[in-house]
Amino acid sequence: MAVNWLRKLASGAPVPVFPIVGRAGESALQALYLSPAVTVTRSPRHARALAVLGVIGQRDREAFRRVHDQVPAPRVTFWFSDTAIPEALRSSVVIGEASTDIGAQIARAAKALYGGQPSGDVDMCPDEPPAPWKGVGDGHGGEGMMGGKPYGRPMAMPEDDLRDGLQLDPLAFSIGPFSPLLPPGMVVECKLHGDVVAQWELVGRPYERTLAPVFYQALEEPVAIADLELARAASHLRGLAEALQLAGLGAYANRLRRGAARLTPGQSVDKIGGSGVLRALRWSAGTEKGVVEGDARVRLRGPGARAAGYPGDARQNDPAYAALGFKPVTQGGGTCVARWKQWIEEADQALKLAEAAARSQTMSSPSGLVESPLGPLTKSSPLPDCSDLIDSLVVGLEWSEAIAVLSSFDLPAVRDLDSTRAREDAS
Amino acid sequence: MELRQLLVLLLVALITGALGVWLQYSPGQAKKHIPWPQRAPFLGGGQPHTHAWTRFHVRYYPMTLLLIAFEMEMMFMYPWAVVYVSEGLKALTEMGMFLGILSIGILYGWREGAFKWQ
Amino acid sequence: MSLALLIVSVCSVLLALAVGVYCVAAFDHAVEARVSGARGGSALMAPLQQAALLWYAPENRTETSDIPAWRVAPVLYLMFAAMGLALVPWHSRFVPVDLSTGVVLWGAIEPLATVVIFLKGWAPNAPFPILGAYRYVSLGLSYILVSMFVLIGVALPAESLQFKAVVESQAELWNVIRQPLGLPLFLIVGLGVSFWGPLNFIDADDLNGGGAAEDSGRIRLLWAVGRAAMLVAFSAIGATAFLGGWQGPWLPGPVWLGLKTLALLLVLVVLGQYLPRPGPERFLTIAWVVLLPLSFLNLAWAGVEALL
Repeated sequence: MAVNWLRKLASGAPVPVFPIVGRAGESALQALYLSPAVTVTRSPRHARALAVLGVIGQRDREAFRRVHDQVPAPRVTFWFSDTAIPEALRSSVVIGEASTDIGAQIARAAKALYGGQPSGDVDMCPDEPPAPWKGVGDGHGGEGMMGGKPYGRPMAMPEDDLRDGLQLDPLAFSIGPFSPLLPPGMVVECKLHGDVVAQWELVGRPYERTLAPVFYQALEEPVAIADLELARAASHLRGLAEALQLAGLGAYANRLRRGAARLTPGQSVDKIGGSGVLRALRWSAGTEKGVVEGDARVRLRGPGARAAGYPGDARQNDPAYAALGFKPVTQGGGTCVARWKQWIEEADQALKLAEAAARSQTMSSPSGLVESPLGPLTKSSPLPDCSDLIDSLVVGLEWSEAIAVLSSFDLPAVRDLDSTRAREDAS
Repeated sequence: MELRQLLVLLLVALITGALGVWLQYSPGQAKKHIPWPQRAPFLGGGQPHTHAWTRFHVRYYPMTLLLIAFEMEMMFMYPWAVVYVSEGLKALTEMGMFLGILSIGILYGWREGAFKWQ
Repeated sequence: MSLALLIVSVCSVLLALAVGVYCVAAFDHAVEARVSGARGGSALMAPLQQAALLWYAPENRTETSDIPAWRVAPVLYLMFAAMGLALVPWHSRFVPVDLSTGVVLWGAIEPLATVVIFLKGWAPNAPFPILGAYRYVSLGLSYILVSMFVLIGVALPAESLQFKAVVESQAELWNVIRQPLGLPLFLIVGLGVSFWGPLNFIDADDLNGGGAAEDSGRIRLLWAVGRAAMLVAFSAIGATAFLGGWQGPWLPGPVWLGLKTLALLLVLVVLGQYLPRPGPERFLTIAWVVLLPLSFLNLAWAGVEALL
């Protein structure tokens, strides 16, 4: 009886979910953030349900199996994706419908677990340690003092340090495609000396970002500038929300996300996010780092380029924008805080433009070149991925600074109009 | 008597400790085998190449030396605080000198980059 | 001391702990709902619902963890918080643990808590927790000194290291006015030792949950309770040392102490949701170059003021 009462209490709390974000899964992730029935967690250990949003690429199947098994059993897997469901999960997976709030669907499925009954969701990886160690070598897999694979993994070997020549051990691991710290799909081989990044090597590029449909429409036909600018402001606000979450302000991040979903022309970022979004970001780690130097500067695009002082903006060529009095905003320096400031100022500018455009019902002039939130977008050549810019920027930075630098860029490529390319990975 | 106070402290500590241990081992946590795939450290799908228990390069050891100096000063300040008012100005100047000398240590550490990571 | 007094002392501390932890969770939920604009559940039920959710969460282990350390660390952390709370005097005639060197015991609890927090991050043998633990220790060592200098400053006019004497020395003027730098510095340290909000360097979101990235189940519940308990202990000691403890006009002493503690708890919870986490290097420099000299200034001010 007391146990039932406890169970009822547990059902009252939002269900923790770990999202696996694939190609075209960003909008579903935003819907999850805003849903009151679930909390999105940063680690699968804190979650009772795994939500698969978007299409998982072929090369990331192994990583998906690993993360799926890392959610502690009993768990519920929620499938909201076009990827084919793996054989092992076919009987137990909960398929999502796009019609209702996916958060509520996940919560309903997960609350059945509190009764204690097993969910039928099985592990996908074999139940064995990473390397056999029982009885191997010295009895636990080790050989000699530091060799072999004690308990299944090798010990670290010392190597020269970046800075002061002490020979201590590096911490080497690969961060995979479904880490909340990286853009979805990005795989990195990382080696840390203490807290400091000693080596950062891009192994897998992130999935292409899917923009709001209005940007693709603007390539071919006139579109209301108000809609275009609102979508741009929403995209920048979501990037800022991610940066705020990394700085420890999760509540403010959710507030920005909520505001981004309900934008109206004429608002200001200060009102939406609470005054002092920039002040908060100025205090966080890594503000003066992340300046792209030398030849790599030519690969900067969109707000990143404008934050480094290059005033190129495709909207300059559009007479409709010129009529509204548009001038590109730039910052100097090209540091992290410059890029964040650029996002805030562009979002403010976009909201003002939207207000002016809504009043005068201005339409954009289609010219085959559209300024998207990530950079200039054309029909023929979609924006390429520039994640390897990060490799040289991040070496020598402390971990939180490195992650801040990563979050201040918009790295992934942009998905082009041809969606058949996404289908070939889905089988 | 102090011993009675310490007894209350001990009882509070023991009862809280017992509560904590009970919470972890109480019924509802069936002792089941946790499969190896679940045990792998979470890295977003990536894998660690070595154990995490390494000779980690903490970079702030100069700062810890400074900390030890100040800790020793703190030890002296505890009894100093109790007799301070009765001793008067002499006590103030003595501790002031002690603090001043150690503050020069902070300045030196700051200039030498003891508070920086790289 | 009679058996009745013994039992009442122990029970009062445990009751204060339970009520305080519940209040921290309720405040946190209310402030977060207010900031993020969500129309979530009621703040009064939220702590119980979260606790029940964590009660049912399954256990987790990692490949080669130090299981005894992993399980013992949250228990020890809670014990230290309870011991700190036991030092707080509720009334001039009722102090659960009335040590003549109460300030010294409190000073011993803080670094021990740092060790235990490190142990919790070290135990799972996984990259993110260990990064969080080492990062936390560098900063944890820095602000412990600040709290001790501030408390010594409070002990100067009391001419004693006993918390009861500290409260009685505030009969004319509370220390928050007499030594204005003291309470803000103490609250910063409180945020740090409970790794709350801006000083949450171990369980940070930029480490995927850091020290708690591999936790699930009861360990998580106990860790959250311990953090809240440490906040309660810091608020209670802060109310004792700076806000005059049980002193106040119409209401009975313990009620005043409870109100002051709740006020400080609300301040700490709000700061936790409003302030961003600074970079570790930047905060290290600030702690040693700004906060520590400020605590010296506070001490000098207290010294001069005590002699006048």
